[in-house]
Amino acid sequence: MPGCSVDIRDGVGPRVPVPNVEGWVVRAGSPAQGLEVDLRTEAGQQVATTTTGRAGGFGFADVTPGTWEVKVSGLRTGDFESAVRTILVDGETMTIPRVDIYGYGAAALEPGDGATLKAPNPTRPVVFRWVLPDIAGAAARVRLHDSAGNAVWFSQSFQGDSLPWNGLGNQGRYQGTLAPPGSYTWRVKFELPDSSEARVATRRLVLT
Amino acid sequence: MSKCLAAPAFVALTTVASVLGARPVGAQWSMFHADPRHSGFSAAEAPGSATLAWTFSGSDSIFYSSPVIGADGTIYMGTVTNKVVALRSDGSLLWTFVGNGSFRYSTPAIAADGSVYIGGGDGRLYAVNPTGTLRWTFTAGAPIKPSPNIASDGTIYLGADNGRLYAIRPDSTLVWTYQTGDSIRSSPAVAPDGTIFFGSEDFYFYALWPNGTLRWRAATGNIIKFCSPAVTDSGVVYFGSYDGFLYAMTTAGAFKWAYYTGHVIRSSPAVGRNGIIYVGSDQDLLALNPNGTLRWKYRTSGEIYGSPAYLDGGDGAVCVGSDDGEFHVVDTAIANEGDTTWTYLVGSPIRSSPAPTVTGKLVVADLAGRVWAFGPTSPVSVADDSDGGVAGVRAVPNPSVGAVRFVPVGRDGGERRLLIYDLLGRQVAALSRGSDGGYWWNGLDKDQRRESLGIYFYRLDGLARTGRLVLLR
Repeated sequence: MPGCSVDIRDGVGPRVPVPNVEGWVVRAGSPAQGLEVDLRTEAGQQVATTTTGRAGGFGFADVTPGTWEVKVSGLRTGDFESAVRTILVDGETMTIPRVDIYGYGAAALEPGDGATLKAPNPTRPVVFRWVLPDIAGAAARVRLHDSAGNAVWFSQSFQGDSLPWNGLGNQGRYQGTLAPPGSYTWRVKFELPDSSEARVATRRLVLT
Repeated sequence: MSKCLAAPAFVALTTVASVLGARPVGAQWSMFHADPRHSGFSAAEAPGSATLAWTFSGSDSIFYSSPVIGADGTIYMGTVTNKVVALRSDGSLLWTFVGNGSFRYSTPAIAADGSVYIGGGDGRLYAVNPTGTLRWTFTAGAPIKPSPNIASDGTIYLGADNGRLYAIRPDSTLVWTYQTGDSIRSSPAVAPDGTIFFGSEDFYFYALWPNGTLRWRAATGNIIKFCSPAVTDSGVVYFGSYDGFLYAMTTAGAFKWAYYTGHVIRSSPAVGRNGIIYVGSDQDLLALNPNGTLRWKYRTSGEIYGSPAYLDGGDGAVCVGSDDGEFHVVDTAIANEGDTTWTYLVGSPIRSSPAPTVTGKLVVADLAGRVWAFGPTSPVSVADDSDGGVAGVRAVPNPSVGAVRFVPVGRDGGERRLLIYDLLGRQVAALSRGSDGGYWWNGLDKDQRRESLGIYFYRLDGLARTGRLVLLR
């Protein structure tokens, strides 16, 4: 069962049950200990959790074949809030490419957390600004949800540091309509050249 | 291809004149999408059948650059290398102008004095005399991919990859430039009051006063690339973005609505009778009501990069090419709107936009470098099949080269065989219905021998109505 987790002991090797998915987490190249690592379905449902060891290692046992997400949560200031790597398990034991939790300066800038703005329209857009991680080839996407967690607007992937949002939703019931006044949350997801994704903290936004 | 109606037929009472303004019948198609407003509208009538009048085969591919028509009927377009080709109205070559950069994207614009303006990939705007000689060039310093527009006072507007929109006098001197945040590949449209509208790859749509200052700008969720706006007399401007929305804004800058297509929009909207908007997105030709609701959707088998032309004559028709290699003419008459009037398989993707000529033809160019003219007085002047849709199938294309497809049309003919007869009345083939409801004839008889070229008749077994088909080889 993927719910079983195991700690890999540096230099000693794994204890039973033997993991069939293992990997390492680093922070700017150095082993990152004590970070929570979750195994999730493609839909984001958590099915197992573990913590990285002294060498940053982690493992999951009995992971069935299929597509899974490995999510690592940041711990320190300067870390990404989380980093995710999608893996395809084929039944063989696999070592996934290491995950770097360091944020390399990535941040969400504007609107500030809890900012109150007039509901946008095409001639009065909200401009989302962020700092891209200092990693060549990194790109960003903005995701906006309503207070109930429903997706409102997902931007395209963009290798810049700001994007306008004209208030039009492109997700679910918001598709093609201007988002009404209310409370929303937004976050920036970064697509990294090593095929992992990382994000910074979610921010609140009030539209009036 | 197929279409689906999104809602019960909606009849707007708005008149053509009130939406588009009075315009002379047979007005020229002298620049990209017809006129300075890029309405994509013509009073001409589309040919009622896929009657091929002539073809021209050039040596270069023709990409987004689209045919435009001079006052004397001359047809101009650019090629992907560095040529501007001028054809007489009968399809014969008048002249070829050779520039220094690609004319892959830019559609020529023809001034009142016959000068032909076109943007080049070498960063120059070329002014070519009606005789095919160079008059002057203007250097923008970055590739010019949009099509130039000529305002009523003769000012030429065009954008460039350096993000600048240029206003240039007919003597090649610069009036002003306006800097946007990224490349401009959208061709500017000019409203009757002189406001200039265009999109930029900086995600914004711009409205500039004639003096080059910003009137307003609107954000979209992605780049605006290739799609050029269309402006109506009633004060609405339509434009699409790579964010998948087709936008309607008032020319004063108020948001009206946005229709989400779910796909990148490269095609430029055309505005037809009753203010209905036609635009390509993904593999679909969409018809939208003036209130932003979907009226119908016509599916082709390939991506639609080009821009539809609306021809208002007769019952009205909208014409567009597709990457499926077919040219589609779609009915806009209330009773049959969204149905195929005819299609013609040119066999190469069509990304340029069609144009009606002054001699009643409809011309379109393809990626293989061929120009196709449909309409009366054809050297192969063979009428299309006589099937008005009652028999359940229609031959596509017709005339056909080598093989022919029969597509379902009108009332379903059921699981009948399609019978092919020669001129002597001999049955030469009996075809079974395919899974798509259509039929396919490879031009072979029952004994797998190739039939000779000529006229054949077809009908669904058990039905009396007969269609006529021409096999060219």
